[in-house]
Amino acid sequence: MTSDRTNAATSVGLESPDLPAPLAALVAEVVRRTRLRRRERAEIAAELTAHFRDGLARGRGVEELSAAFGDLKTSARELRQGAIAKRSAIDRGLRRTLQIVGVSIAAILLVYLAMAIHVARLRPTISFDPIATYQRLLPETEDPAWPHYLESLAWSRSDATLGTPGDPFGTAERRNLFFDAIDRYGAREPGAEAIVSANARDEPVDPIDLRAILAAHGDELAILRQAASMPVLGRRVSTSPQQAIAAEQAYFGTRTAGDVEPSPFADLLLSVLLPDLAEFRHASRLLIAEARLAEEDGDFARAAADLAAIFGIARHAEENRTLVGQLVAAAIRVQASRAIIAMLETGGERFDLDALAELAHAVDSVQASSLRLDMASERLMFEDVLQRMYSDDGDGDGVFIPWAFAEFSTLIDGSERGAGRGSSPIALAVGPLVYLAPGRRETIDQHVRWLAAIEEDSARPWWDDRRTVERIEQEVLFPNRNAPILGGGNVLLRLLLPAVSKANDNLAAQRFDLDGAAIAIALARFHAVHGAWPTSLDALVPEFLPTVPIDPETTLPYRYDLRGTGPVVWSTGPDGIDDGGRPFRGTSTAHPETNDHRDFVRVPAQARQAGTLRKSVLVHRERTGRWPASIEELGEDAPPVDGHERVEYLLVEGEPVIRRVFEDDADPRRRFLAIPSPGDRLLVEWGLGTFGPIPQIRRPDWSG
Amino acid sequence: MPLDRELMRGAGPVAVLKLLERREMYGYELVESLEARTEGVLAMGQSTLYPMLYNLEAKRLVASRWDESGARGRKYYRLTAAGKRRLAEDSAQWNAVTAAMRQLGIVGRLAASAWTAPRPPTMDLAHRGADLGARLGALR
Repeated sequence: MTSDRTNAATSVGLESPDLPAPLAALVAEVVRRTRLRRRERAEIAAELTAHFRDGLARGRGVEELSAAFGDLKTSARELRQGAIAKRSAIDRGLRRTLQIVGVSIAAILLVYLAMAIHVARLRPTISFDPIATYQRLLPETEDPAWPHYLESLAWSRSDATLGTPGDPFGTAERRNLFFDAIDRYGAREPGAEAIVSANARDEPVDPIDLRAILAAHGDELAILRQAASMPVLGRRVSTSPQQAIAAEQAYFGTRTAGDVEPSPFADLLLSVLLPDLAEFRHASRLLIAEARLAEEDGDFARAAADLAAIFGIARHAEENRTLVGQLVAAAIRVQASRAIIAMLETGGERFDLDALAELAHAVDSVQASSLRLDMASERLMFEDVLQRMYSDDGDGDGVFIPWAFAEFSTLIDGSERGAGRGSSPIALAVGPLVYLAPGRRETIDQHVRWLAAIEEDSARPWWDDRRTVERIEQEVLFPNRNAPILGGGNVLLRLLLPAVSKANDNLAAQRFDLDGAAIAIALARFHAVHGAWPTSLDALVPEFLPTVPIDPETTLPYRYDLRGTGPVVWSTGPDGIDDGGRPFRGTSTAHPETNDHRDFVRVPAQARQAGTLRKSVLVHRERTGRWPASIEELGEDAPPVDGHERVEYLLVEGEPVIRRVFEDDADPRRRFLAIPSPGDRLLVEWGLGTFGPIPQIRRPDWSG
Repeated sequence: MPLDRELMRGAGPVAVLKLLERREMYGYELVESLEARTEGVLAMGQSTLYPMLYNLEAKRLVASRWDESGARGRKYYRLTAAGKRRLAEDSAQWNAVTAAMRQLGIVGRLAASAWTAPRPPTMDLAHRGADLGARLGALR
């Protein structure tokens, strides 16, 4: 009976029980050595067993058969080769492919391991001292302004004076109340007048007497104005809090030195401390509040000196050539410009010509370089970080060192120092991937190109195509997904490129407020000289303005109109449609279609109405001992009505309210301006017509 | 005289095909026949024969079957049609080689030296007996 060989092989199995032990062992051993599949081994075992049985049947001895079998190793190898040859072509092809793949993988692993060991040994090289290089960017002076700032601000900012005789605050909490008071008073926020004599938060504390406090420190304020007029700030920078403020210890006290841990990268340019920026912000707010008090005192020369000095403070704030310094300077200038506009709006004619000339000079002295990005320190900061993250081949190139980067990141985060990362198994495993990341030279070149493009773009006028900065930012933040791993966007560039497009816009947008201030000052000077308002802006040239400023939104001159309440200057806004100076009120989500149909009013006249009405209401109360019941009760003191808004007066639960209502304004939520506050205070919001965000104030529902 | 390994690689397969030309044979039978019919020149052990058979089978020149009808199971090999064609081709080539060798005077001298070599009589007899046994077995 015949069966197929598979069945035979299976039935035989791998053992040879009916053979003498030496031959059975021989079969078992040679079959084992073939390392074939079980079925193949079974078949070979069966055939060899049959072979030996035939040999024994022929009368040959066990030893003779064993000897005739030949070398075990050779036999096993050749049997294996023969059995493999019998396999199907697909089977053999697959086996061959697996062999090739296996060998290739082994080769790749070997190369990878060699690279991993090489990469694990890479270390960054610090090739230049960033702090010393940065210092060389800063102007030198024999007579720095900074010590004078410290002298003039210590009474209101230094922890060392807190609680000492002559300190007007006593506690840090009351000093914070004072900061709050000067902010809101200077910004003419609702309720700010009340802060002069009382605490606006209605907390049971002693009132902050802003007027008395500022009057008591007139000498210091004079020093502050003097410091602001000096050409160079001359503040030395350092990364070590102790070192940075060694000379300023008495001033900063525990506020900086105690709170700031020394940076683990003490010599890293990113760690440079700029505690002076907060002082400049404070100083400018102080002077704006002081200017308003001077205005109320009728001392317009002092008010002008205060406002003019703020432009000097802004200049000092950006002397460090950092982006944050530039942004602080821009914010200070915008504050000052708006303060000038607000002040001239309610009484520009009271300023004498000298005071106005001082203001004009201050606004005119702003350099074009202050309105565009200066990436000098950014460039240096990047190169400094780069030299700590990359190896250096001595020729300007190198590879990204991930563990240097990881260590840097954890240190920046304030977490534990990650020592020995280069030799960890994970680091070894991922090490060679660094060759896929952009190299040192490529990264530097890219950064240099980008910064140059950003600076060039930033120097363009507002109306030009300034989208390069935005495009670069997009490229960094959202790299091409098709790019190779790690190369799809440089990690360092992504981490270290600041939010340039926003900063770029913020710097350039100073232009709007500076233009508004310049025009407002020129209008006031014209009025002071001629006793009347000009019929057009052209009438201001050349006596009060070198040229009529161009509206950066439209590249046309600003629009001008003379209303019953005074002159109005506006920009048509990005839509280019002249709405006759109807103010832009921010974004309406309820009526988005109305957003474009507004102008940006640079020099508003509307606030005069509210201001005039407020004064009339206060005079009425002084005279009669009660609030007027309606605007009609004011008679001739009622302000004239403007074309695009009207001022309403009403009593709400016995509290006087003044509000500005914009005609054809469908959104009642935007119909507010003056709100009541507890007590008998009359609160008016000012200056909303100027370009900029609407201050956060309480907004009662006036829809009824 | 045992054949050189390279020569055996060329001559072995055609010798196996030739033995299978007349009838199917199992492994031990092939070993015995090769040794007896070639006077030991083409004698090969299991470690050579079986891999060679596997290779011939892989090339579809021979086919195999297990026969378990007897007391002992055996695997029989037979010539396929492709094997017959290959045998005819290889035989023609060997004839040509032999003729060429003869022309060169190589075959004659080699044959003379091979046949003059003394062989142990017991082995000779044993092989002849085995050969005879094999032939008889085949006839049965």
